Amino acid sequence: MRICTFSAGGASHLGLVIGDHVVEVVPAQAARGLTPVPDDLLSVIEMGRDTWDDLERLNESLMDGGWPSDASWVRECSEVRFEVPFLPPKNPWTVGSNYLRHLEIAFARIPREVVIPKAPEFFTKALTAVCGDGADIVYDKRATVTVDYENELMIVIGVGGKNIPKEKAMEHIFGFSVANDVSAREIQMHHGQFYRGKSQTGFCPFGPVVATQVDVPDPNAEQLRTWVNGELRQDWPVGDMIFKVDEIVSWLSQGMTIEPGDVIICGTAPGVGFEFLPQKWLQHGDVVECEISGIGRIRNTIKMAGI
Amino acid sequence: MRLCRFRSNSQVAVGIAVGDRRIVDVSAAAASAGVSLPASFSLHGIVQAGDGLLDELSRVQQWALQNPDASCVLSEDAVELLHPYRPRKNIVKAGGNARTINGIPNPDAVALLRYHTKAPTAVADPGTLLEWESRVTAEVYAEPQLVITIGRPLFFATPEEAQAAVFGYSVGTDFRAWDLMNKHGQWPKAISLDGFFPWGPYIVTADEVADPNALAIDLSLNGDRLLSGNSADVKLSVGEMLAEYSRGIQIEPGDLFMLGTPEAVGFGCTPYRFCASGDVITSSVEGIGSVETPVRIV
Repeated sequence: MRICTFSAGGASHLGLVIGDHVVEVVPAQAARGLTPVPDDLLSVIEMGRDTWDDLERLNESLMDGGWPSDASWVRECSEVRFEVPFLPPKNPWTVGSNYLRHLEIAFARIPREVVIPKAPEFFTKALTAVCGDGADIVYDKRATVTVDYENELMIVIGVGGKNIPKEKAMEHIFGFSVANDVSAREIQMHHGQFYRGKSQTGFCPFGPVVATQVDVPDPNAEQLRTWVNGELRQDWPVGDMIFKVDEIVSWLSQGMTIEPGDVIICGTAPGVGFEFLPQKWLQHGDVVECEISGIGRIRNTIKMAGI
Repeated sequence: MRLCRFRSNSQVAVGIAVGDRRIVDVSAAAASAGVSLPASFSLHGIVQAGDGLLDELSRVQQWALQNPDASCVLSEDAVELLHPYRPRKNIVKAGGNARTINGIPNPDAVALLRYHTKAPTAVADPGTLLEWESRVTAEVYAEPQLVITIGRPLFFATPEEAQAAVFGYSVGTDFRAWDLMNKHGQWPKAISLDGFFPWGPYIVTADEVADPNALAIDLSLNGDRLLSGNSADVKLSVGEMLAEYSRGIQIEPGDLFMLGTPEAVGFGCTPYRFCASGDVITSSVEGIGSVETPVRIV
């Protein structure tokens, strides 16, 4: 199933995306006489598999049987605003240097010899950077003028744990989403640690949905594509990662408890603005679209503060 | 005021220090003190309210000082002091902020700090045994830290505004795995293992800290003082660091920062010293208090 948080008429609700429609979950469940679930995605994730199954039953009944034409709890996707699916319980985790070709080009620009990481290069982004599909990414030129995009697969953890073996890692995953790991390159480089350059307000849009493993059984088989003002910039197989999804979850959980709702962004593929000569930084008014097949596409507009 | 969270008879409560090693249970004393408190009342909530609840808390404290024999005034020894709260976001370490490392000028002289973060799951109570598996890391060391708690939001703030937004100060220990710092390249995983951030027990409100930029910050390993630092020994003071950080990143009430001094890999020893089972690490900040952590490698 493809789960979203949407707003219509001023309020935010949990929704299921079925084709071109968004079904508002709480009234739909009441209409179907199904077990109610909370009206927010983080609570659904935290409540565990029984609650996920309740939601899945609603999804199946809608996929199979549709809905009455006068159902007030169904809207067309174009009528609603997709919000950030949920706010995770801590900073989003991110993996750097996870696509070899991206690394090779990036290191050539620095320039420095390519070093292939022996373990995932984990860092975090500020929680205040998180926003949703359609949100403006507002940068402030007092802080940065080298804003860049990075389309990445996002893992959403469903079952917490510690010291998770690779073989069990997929059982801990609730689903997947699409994230843009927006980066202020001069801050990222000058501060040594990546955190600050990747944590400016609005620098972590994700969505538009969280797709569960039923819909995305193998994220490695999906394709990642990014457009800036309609120009295709990134077009790469998601599965070309140095550390795959199961390895990332396993590595992160060694010695450290991961929790339901934690998110991990898996690194970006070749084609970011930093790699071009001359480099192509995002400017006021640019529209960035990040898509991963099987999950969806987020679209954000770049704005410069004060304009 | 010195605020804390404690457990007594399996109940968790908010306390204020009154006199020598005694604390008043704020909720239990509120009615007698003629103070009404919000329904959901926690130390995290108090910090997030900025100075919004300080008058009420001060009245509870005054009442307790006048009624030292009341049943809601407890001996510190009779309760279990806990860490103040689990923050909503990762804790930010102002890495690279130390002007000197083990008395030698920081070779990284430029004032661009290596901000990195510690997961909120790393928080631990003072005195709790910290355990990790030797297969996860073999090279754990620790740095004593002045912990800054934020009471008001900041964004593109001046150093003066940032300093005024500090709710209070406490002491924490930043446990770090040197082998994981090297293995993962970036540092947050290496400082985010479970239990790697014992802090508290007290948050000392900013009005009681005359100069946060002149506090001795020390670390002892099994009673031997290995690190002696001072919050003056930084590239960016408390207000300057927060102001610099707020350039493009929102700071919110309840956020936690570590000032970043003293800085010393391997406890500043040559060769590096790393934790061994049975070690006891004690971090102290002048006028704030200390936090002690026994460790065991399993």
